[in-house]
Amino acid sequence: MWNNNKDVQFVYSTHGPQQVWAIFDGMPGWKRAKVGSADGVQNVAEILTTAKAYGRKVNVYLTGDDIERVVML
Amino acid sequence: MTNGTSGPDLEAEVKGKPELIVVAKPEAAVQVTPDGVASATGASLSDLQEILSDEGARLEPLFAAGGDEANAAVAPAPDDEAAQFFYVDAPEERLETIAARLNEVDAVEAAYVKPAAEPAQQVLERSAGLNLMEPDMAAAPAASPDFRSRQQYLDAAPAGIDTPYAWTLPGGRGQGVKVVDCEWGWQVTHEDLQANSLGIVAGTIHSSTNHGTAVWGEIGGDVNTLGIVGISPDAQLGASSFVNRPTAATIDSATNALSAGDIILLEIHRPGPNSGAGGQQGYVGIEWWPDDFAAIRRAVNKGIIVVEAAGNGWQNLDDPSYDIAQQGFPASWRNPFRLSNPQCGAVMVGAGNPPQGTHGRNTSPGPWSEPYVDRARCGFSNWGARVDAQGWGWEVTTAGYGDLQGGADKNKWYTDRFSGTSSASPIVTGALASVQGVVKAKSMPLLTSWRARQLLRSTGSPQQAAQGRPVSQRIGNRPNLRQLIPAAMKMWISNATVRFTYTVASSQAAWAYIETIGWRRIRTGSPDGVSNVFGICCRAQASGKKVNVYIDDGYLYSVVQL
Repeated sequence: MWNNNKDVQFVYSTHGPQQVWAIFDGMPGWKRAKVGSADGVQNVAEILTTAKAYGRKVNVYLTGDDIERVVML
Repeated sequence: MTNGTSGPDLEAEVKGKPELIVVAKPEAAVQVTPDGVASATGASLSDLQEILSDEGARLEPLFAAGGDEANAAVAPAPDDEAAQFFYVDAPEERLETIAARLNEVDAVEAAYVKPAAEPAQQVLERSAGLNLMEPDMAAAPAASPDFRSRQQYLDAAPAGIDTPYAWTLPGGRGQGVKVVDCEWGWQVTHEDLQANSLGIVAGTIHSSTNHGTAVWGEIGGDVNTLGIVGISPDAQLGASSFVNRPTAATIDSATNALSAGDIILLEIHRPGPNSGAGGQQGYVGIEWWPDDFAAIRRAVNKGIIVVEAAGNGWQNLDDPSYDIAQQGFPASWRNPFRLSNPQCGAVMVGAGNPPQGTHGRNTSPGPWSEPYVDRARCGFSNWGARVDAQGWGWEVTTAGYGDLQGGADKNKWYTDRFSGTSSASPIVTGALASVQGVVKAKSMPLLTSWRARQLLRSTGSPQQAAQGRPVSQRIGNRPNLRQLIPAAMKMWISNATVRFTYTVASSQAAWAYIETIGWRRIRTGSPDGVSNVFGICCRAQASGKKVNVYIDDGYLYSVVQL
């Protein structure tokens, strides 16, 4: 489901493949960029880090704890 | 009209009148008042007024409403170059004398006489054969047949411009586009020109209506089971008449009736400096004259596409003779046929041969009798670096003239032999109306006259050579809508704002929303390529930096962060 107008509090990555997580304001726990495509995860990382760095809100679509889609506002 | 038992009723010759044009010095700020002329800056105009009174002449603004309230124009602002242009209403036989006297006046920068202009259909000596068709006086059937199969200029390239392709696309029939044809007469009651009519936007109609009827037919012939069909039949088609009006004022009336993205067609040419040998030899496109150049540029600056017949004068427009100003031209004038000089922005159209065997014919009518070599220059067509594109210059099937189907009722006349840069220019006009319709349907930025020139030069079926008519005598490519429309969709958008970005956690699934354009998906093909472009878009959006983006109607290909 969509969760709209959220701040990105943290973004985390480690050196292994497709390892990107984020915490969104008001939502408990880490959410992981859905694995399956290396460049797809990279794009999610790009949009989340940019949103956090510039203080932009996002709409984020989650399936469980998986981040499937992100719109930067 | 005849009753079918006597000879054909040939139309009267269509010819304009010579025009005396005055360009006032900007500092004189000449204005026309009910009492004569006055200067908004207090400059002395007594000598000007004396000449006008002496000659019984009147000075009239060239770019103004002209009393046509339906198209009440905003008069040019005093600092607008157009405010300097006037025409002199005086007896024709006095124009040269008055011009000479006016050129001595302090407040006058230039005064010159333009020869009478004509549609590209004149009938003299080597020009014979161009639109000399006589109507067939046999009675037309109650229901006109469908002549579409004879309009091969509509078919797939290279013979045609591929309207069937354009018609598969939303907007491809010219929806939302207005086209105004500038010439002298139109059969507005013709059976195949009833839909999507704008009517006469300015001026009165000449009694000779075949030429304009044929032009309208090519562009906007109705979609039905009879007669012909136009290239862009859903475009709204109108007319601005040169009858008893200066040509530049007629063009300006069309400009005032249209909006950005619409099209003006100039079905006219005029004897240039190399004329005088008889017939139409030496006739050229009218942008060569400063006031017409200014009128065209006003339209282009408003975002209107202007299509201009190159002329039937069999002239090399690259010839240095065109660099020499006509007597009385402003000192600032430069030959617009030379691309290194200031341009008005019109699309100039030359005439090319149809394919061999069109309508069962392999040569053009006499005395030209030139063998048809598809897309080779028609012998009468002007050529040069200035000419942007070509259309069919012989064998155009359309409404009017009556040689294909005639009879007593001109509303049912059709021709198989419309010709000249007259027949070529509507083909390019219709093609551009199709493209603009697609652009509008996709909410893309409107095609401008400048971009239309560039696209016509970079796409299309190439010019071919024929004996005595080499490709170096440039008339450009024949439009190919299957190439032209996709090319028109691809463009750089400068100084744009990235409003939103969006990604899905799967490969190469990234989008950016460009303000005024909408969502575009970053062009797939390379995972890291998509990521790179997406990264720039994200950062530009977040930081508020502007970008230049290269897009088409679906994709974003490249980005420059400014």
